[in-house]
Amino acid sequence: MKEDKKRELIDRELVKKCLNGDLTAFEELVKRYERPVYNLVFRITGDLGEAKDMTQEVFFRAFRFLKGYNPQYKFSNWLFKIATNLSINIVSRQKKHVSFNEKHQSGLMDISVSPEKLMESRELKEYIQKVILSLPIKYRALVLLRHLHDFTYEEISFITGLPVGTVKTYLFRAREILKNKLKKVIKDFYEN
Amino acid sequence: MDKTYKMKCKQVKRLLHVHLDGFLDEELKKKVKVHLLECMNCQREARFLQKAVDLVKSYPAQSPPRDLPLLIQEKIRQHAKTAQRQPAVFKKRRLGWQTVTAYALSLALFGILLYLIGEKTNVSPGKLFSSCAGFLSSLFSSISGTASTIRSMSKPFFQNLRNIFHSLPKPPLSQEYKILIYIALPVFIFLNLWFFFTSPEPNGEKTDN
Repeated sequence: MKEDKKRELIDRELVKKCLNGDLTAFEELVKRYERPVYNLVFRITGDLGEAKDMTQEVFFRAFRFLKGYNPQYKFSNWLFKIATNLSINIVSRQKKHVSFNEKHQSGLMDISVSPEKLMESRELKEYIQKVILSLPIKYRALVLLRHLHDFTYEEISFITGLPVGTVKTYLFRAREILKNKLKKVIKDFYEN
Repeated sequence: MDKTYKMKCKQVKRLLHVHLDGFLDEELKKKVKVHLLECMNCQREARFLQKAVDLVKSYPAQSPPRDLPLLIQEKIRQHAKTAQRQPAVFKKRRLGWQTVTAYALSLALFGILLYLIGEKTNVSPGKLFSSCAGFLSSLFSSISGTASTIRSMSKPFFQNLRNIFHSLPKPPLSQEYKILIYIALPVFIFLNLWFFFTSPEPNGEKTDN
């Protein structure tokens, strides 16, 4: 918790410097958030090339609109807001909705390895990625923000612009979908 | 009894998600735990849910490309350079008004020129103005029509042209003034035409009656 506050203070200081025309301060901010932003964008879009281009665009927009940043919110949340909205817009525009492939599921069932090994295996990771990408975009972003970036309901509400109640409902629906799609894997590898 | 049991399961199903997120208060947490001890079905659902979330959490993180910070820096530095070259907002406005004044002056000169020609050639300035305006409007409409046709036919050419245009220093007019001119000019011309057509002839025969 203390580290979080320290991080926030450093961010604010860097933003101040950047607003005074110090470009190296922004470069420091890029270093701090390049990895999480890149990962969020990649996880939402499922495309490495797209993630590279869009991460550049996220930081570029953050730099352009830094004057409009309200310091009462965390800088990281504001940055993730830009990243999430941009990713959602791009995916919706491209209609990049990867359909859930049942064949893939049955193919996976043939692998006769222990659950521990499977957890490490590439196939399972790819399979999970496909399941996540099969979620509708609004649910996908929320699940990723909650479980892979550990944002609270209130923070997700700020990032996505949705009311907290809607965030809870969407998360509930998304996890129900995930649970049903992953049921077979869970049954086979955890219960046998 | 069966019905109340089902209701409880439904409630627990929803609360399980909040519990999983760690945002459930102690009292509700106890109630959920008691229910899970009694209900095998919900216990199973809770297990599935937990495992599903664990699997999602195992979604691999990627290392960003090494050149990514450099690319971002390059983009930002370029933007900072062009932003410095761009005039500030107040500068834009001043230049905008200058251009507006230039437009107005040229229009007034055009009117005076027409009037003088009219005086010399004994053609009413109104008629001259209307014929000129008609000619110009038909010329512009034909140009814009042809341009849009060509643009739709050869987009890459116009995109290149636009790129060249964007690489040049930006025109001094801001969008608002451009819109103002585009609206004000036709209105001004129309009002002039209206005035010339509706006003009586200076040496009219009506005075004889």
